[in-house]
Amino acid sequence: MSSLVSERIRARFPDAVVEAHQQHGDDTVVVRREALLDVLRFLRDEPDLDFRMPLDVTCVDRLAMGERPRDHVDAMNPPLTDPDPVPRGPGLKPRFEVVYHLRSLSRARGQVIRVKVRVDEDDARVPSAVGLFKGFNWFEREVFDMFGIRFEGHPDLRRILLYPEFQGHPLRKDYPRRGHQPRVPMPRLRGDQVPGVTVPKE
Amino acid sequence: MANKTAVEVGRDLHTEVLQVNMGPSHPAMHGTVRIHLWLDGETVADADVDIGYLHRGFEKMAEAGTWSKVIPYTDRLNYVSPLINNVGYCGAVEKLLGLEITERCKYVRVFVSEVSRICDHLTAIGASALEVGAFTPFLWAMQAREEFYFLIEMITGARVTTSYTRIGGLRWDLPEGWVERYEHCERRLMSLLDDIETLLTRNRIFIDRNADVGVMKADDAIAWGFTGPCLRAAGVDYDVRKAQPYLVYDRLEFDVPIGHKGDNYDRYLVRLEEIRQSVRIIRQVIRDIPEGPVNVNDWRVVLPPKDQVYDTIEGMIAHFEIIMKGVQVPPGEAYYAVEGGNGEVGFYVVSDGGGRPYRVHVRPPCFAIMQGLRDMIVGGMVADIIPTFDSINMIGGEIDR
Amino acid sequence: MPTLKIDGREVTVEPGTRIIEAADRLGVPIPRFCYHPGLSVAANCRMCLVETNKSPKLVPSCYDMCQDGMEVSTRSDKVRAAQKAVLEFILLHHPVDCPICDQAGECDLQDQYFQYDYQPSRFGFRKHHKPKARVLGPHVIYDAERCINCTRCVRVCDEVARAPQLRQVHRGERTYIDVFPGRELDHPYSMCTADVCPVGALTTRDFRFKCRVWFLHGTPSVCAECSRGCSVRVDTYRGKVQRVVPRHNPQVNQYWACDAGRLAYHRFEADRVVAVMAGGRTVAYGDAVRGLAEALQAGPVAVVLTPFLTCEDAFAVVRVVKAVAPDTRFFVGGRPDGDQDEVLIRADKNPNRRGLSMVLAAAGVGAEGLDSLAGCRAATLLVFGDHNAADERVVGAAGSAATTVVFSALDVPLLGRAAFGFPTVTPYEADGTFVNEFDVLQRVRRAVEPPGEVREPWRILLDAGEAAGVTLPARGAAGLFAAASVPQWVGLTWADIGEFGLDLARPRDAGEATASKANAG
Repeated sequence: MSSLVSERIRARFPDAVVEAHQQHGDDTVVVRREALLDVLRFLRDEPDLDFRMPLDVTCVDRLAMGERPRDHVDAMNPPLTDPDPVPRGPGLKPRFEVVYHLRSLSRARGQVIRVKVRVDEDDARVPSAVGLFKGFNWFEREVFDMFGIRFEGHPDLRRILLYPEFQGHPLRKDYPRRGHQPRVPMPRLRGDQVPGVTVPKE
Repeated sequence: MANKTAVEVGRDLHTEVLQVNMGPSHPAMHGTVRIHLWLDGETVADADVDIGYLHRGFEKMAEAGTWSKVIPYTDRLNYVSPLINNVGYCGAVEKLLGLEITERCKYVRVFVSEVSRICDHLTAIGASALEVGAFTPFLWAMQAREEFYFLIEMITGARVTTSYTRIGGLRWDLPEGWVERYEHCERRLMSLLDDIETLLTRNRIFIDRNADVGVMKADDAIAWGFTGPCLRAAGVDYDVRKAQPYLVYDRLEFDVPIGHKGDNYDRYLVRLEEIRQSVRIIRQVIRDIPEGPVNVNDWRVVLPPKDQVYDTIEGMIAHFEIIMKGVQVPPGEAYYAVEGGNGEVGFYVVSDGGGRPYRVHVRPPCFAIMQGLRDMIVGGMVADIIPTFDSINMIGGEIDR
Repeated sequence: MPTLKIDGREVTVEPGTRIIEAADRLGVPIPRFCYHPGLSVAANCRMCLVETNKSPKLVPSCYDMCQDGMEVSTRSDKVRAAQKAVLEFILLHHPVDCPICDQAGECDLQDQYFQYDYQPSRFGFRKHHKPKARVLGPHVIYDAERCINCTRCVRVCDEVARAPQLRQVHRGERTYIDVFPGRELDHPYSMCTADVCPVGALTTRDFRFKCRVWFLHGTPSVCAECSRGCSVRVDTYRGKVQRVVPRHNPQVNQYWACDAGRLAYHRFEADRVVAVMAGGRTVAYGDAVRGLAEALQAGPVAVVLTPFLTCEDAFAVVRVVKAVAPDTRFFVGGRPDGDQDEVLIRADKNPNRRGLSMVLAAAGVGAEGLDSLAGCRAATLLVFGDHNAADERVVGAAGSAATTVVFSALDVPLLGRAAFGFPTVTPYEADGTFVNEFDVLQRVRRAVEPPGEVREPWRILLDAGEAAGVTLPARGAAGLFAAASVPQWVGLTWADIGEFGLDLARPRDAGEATASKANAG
């Protein structure tokens, strides 16, 4: 049996794995959204896997990904000089790829597994993994803040780095690098209201 | 008033929960962070940690330039140990390139990382003394750090904005006389460290303010995603340098100190010992470092030497292409983690094939640790927030990016 | 039909296809300097050498034909070694000019060295010196040291311009390109030699030292200098046109453009009007629009149109004026005819005469020539275009009209005397469509923002129409195009016009509109 964690996942959830690779030695699985929590729970709870440490949640907007036209197919027709230096490709579907990194504390010490979920723009929802790893709380909030992915079941899904009135999601590829935001009026404080903060439920 | 009855006084001492904004501009909230507190008397009833006041859009900016242009931005992540960020980012891009850097370069990167770690821990220790009123250890720690800043300046040309590493190597080799300079720093460091320890480690006030304060148990620490000294203080034997050795850490002998209670005092002790372990690592580096080039010999990645740029067309073109169009990184993704001053600094880089990053994401250790801050301060006294906040050594540049 | 494999990928091509063409079709990169799809094959740079199973030696892929059963390798060790050797050889005497070379940044030599050679120099001797900054003609300067003798420029002169003015002179390492003694490189396509030059040897005097290419922002557009309507790319920097270069378009101009067309942007650099005028003084736009509406209502009206109007402009003008003053007479002016040749240049020096006539025909308007303007007793005269406003027939008619309204991009004398003068866009500021002499519909795009009070004619007429109580079917150029109900393009939108334009003479089937949508710019 293969020692690869991605193979273990494929054996356990044969329908869930969309794709797997070990590029540059990073064990990676792309799973279906419905199976994400099961896969993460399996990774955490299986004694010999023991992926207990939540490392990171982030997202990749694949809007500009994919094969770009090469330079000298037609030497007289170079691609137009692009004022926006972000490389432009036709884009891949689904648009967003939410990336989870977990680290194992026992198995082959320090092994990292990367789990990815792909969601499209008009259905940018992912089940929240905060119930499994409370350390993903802020990371999911950041992805929500920067990409507008909604994590369903997140206890406290609000913007984290930007202010609540911010419009758009800046790390999306279609958000301009010099995007301007409307001016936010100075909030008027009334009583014990503190703007932008909701009182946590106890 | 003198003629109030006891009942009246009791009524006046109403016990409603008081909301207090701690920060974002507060002398102890270094790095501009705001803690929204609900206080029940002097007890912290609840807290909401609010970050983002130092957000600069590092990840968005990184997508705009070439791969090399991200390096100066990484200085500004954890600005107390910028060299570790330099090493981490370049390591991630080299992983994506499938590039093996030279032996000497690996040793130099270990050396600068450990020097940076010493600076980082000195800052944390000095400030943790300062937060509870001890000014002298802070000055001593800064004095020792200053010596290392001189060393860093001698190596990189800058004290904080180092930008020392390059994809495929380094800006330049270590300068003449770096060993002597380091040995001088180490002598000063060891004597000052002994002094600091004499003042703090068995100091009654320091222990009373820090022991059993800001406790984070091992299981919780893991679940929150803690790494670095904060995790090790909770008793988890975990260090990226041991768990997933990078560069030449697998050839170097050093111990990973761990605490057992996970309180502020343990974090102080762990950092103290890590400084001594860093010194131990550096001594081995000085002993083992091989001669040879620090840059890989590939003009697609590393800029040609200046005389070749000015005198030959080949060097000129290679220089021009690397600067203008960037190192051509094949499509793919990679995660590369290094042990930073505060824990695991991970760089997740994605390329779609070309001279510019498609996505650069940094996994800052403080980000995970800060979300556990609420658990560490709720139920404690309001005065304990400051030492606890300091003991996790939050760095605003890293957490907000 | 030979079937061959290139780097393991199978492709079937027509007999007579060169290997490099088959590779381009597959997307397999083969480096090249002297090969150009629009020119004959020289096979002298040896950069495109590939290994095949049909030959013991490496063969130039730009010259060798595809054969059945051929297996081509473009990245074998032998090929890589050859590529390195060729590049080292080409770079032996190449000067260290990148910092002062206009080509830097779009230089094939730079890109291919970085991709295929990336080795240090082994040449420890003095480099050869050859003539530098040699003026070959009115538009082109030659630097012999940078030249790699690919002879693309020689072939452009011979084959495209049919004016054999360039030749290689001397032999061996002393070879360079030159004109014949006492002659100049002065044919109408001389700047194409700088386009095809893979290095910075031939540069245009127009663009020389003007702007570094990586600052340029390119906009695909159409040349307005003659009725050919060559596809061009307008390169701008900080809101100014820096150069105009041809864009490949198989159904209009192949890879080429004439010198006159790409220097035409200089016409609009001086003497621009940027303010709305009334009787020689500046006036608020709203007042002028109301004045225009009143003048239209006063009637009778005569309109002098120009084929420089985009189809959208023409539609808006005709629709608004006809609605306000139904008896209006329309005249079509334009720039006078000029030279014509067998290559690209057409005698009609107006970009949109076909499109204008299509719009007029669709609106049921009969257009007259400027000669009949003399007999027209119009109280209100609308004049579009600086050339029309300078025409003495128009000036004569303006003398007898009660109200003259001029729409011009340039300052013309009539503007000072006219009741109202509206500054309008140049072809580099316009956003719309042109139909060239061969019925190809192309998009002209806004490359620079209009300065000051400059507006598109359709926008001025839209506002004037609203002041007179007439509304247009759309409030944007794209909407006007779709609403124009011109039979030639009814049912199409801007998105249906591909990067090469639409041939309106060719019958369209239903699937084509969707197919061209995919590659619309």
